[in-house]
Amino acid sequence: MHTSIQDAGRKNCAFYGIPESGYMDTRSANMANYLVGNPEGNSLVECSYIGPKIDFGRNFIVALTGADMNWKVDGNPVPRYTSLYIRRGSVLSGTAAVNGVRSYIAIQGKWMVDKDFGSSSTYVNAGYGAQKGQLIQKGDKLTFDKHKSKWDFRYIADEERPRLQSVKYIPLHRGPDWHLLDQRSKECFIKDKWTISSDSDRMAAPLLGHHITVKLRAELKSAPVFPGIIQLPNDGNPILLLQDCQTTGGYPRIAYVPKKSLSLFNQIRPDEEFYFYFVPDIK
Amino acid sequence: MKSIKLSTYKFELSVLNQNYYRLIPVKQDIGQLLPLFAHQIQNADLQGVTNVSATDAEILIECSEPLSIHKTYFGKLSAKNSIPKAYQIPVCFAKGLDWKEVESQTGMTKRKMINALLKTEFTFSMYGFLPGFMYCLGLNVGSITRKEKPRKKVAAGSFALGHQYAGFYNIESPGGWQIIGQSPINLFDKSQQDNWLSIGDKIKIQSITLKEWTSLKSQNLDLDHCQI
Repeated sequence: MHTSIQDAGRKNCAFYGIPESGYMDTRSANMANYLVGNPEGNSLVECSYIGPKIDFGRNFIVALTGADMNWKVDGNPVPRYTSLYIRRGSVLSGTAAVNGVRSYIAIQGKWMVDKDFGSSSTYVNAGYGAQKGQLIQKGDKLTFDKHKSKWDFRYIADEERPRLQSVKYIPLHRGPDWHLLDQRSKECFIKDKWTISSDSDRMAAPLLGHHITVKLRAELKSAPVFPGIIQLPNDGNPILLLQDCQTTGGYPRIAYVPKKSLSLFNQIRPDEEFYFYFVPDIK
Repeated sequence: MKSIKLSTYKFELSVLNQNYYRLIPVKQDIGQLLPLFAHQIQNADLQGVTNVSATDAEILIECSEPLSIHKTYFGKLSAKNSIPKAYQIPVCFAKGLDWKEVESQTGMTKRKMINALLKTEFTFSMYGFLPGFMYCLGLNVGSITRKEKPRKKVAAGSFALGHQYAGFYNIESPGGWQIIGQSPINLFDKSQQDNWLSIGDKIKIQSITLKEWTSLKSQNLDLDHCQI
């Protein structure tokens, strides 16, 4: 349940153990930036589970995408997936998400934000990124370069918007250590339904479902990992690594969710059941 | 699976769904060269490469588009470190939390172990795991087993043992290694990127008391202060 500034993440930093961070739902984030005419990869406000209240000190072009947080401007409902003209002195407010998990607020203009290693993405554990690497707190101010708002009405057609309520199937690839699983576990992984632990955060989502066992407990050497990798710790409960994850790890890398599909995965709520299905590897 | 030479060493190349290229050495004993190659690949600004990471077992190259593998480029990677710098890093062993476990795993007393640590010239072998975590080789006490249940919070600066490595945690984070001390120095200052360690740098440990730890900590010193 938090709000932070994110962009497309830190590139070429994994060598130093620095996580990528960045949008949890890149698809919704890209739509938000498009709607206000900002470049892809621009800074956005990412809200998890609950929407904040924002006072606007001047006229702004704004867009809302991702989870539905009953967005209102001055008490009046406003649509998502369209550009909005918000007047000076108006207040945007959201409630708890009624579907999905993460919402994005795009604001037209150049964001005056702290960056570390080329990115404004907030990574709280090391204090990197915007707002000195901290979550957005009550009373924080976001500042923008002075510019004249350019009103250019844009919207995302209904059929192109992500269907957050119907997320049921998540694509999966076999990972480098898939062969370590016993036959029963391999079958259950695909056949059985899964949920996400309520302990999930930007670093990882523990998966709740079938206990996965290995044929042979192998002592593995540490190897690189990345957002999307499913690790299998010794207790048999898989963990899906996400944007703020570590860069190396010693547990078997049994499978991975392709990068593009993490947008979908990161909108699943802890009480929603889902299934994995294999997609062919592209070599 | 294709094979490719990095410098003169043979690696197997496999691709995970277009985005990730894994390089695994055919012979296991060249682990220490992997971070060195990875660093050069990262700094080469190859078209489409967005991240390069490495351990002593594998190099992973992440790309936004299919990577064009230039055999001549990979063959020209250098297997030599730059001229190493030398550091002396203060550590307070009184702040160790897992001495009992380390004593029982190594069969050495704390005192004997500290003597061995102070005599060791460590070689910095790589960063990895979380921001600035330093993997250092050189201590010959066998492989140290990780904690059965990792700690949820390990303090920044913690000095710990895991596998054949000694390591420094440089941000507060979860961690499974055996903690035997803590350094008061900020070893991974984000504003001092030019002063970060290079692979092959030499590190000696200097034992300090709790009082000295507190005094050094309050001075907010960075790695630069430790260079000899």
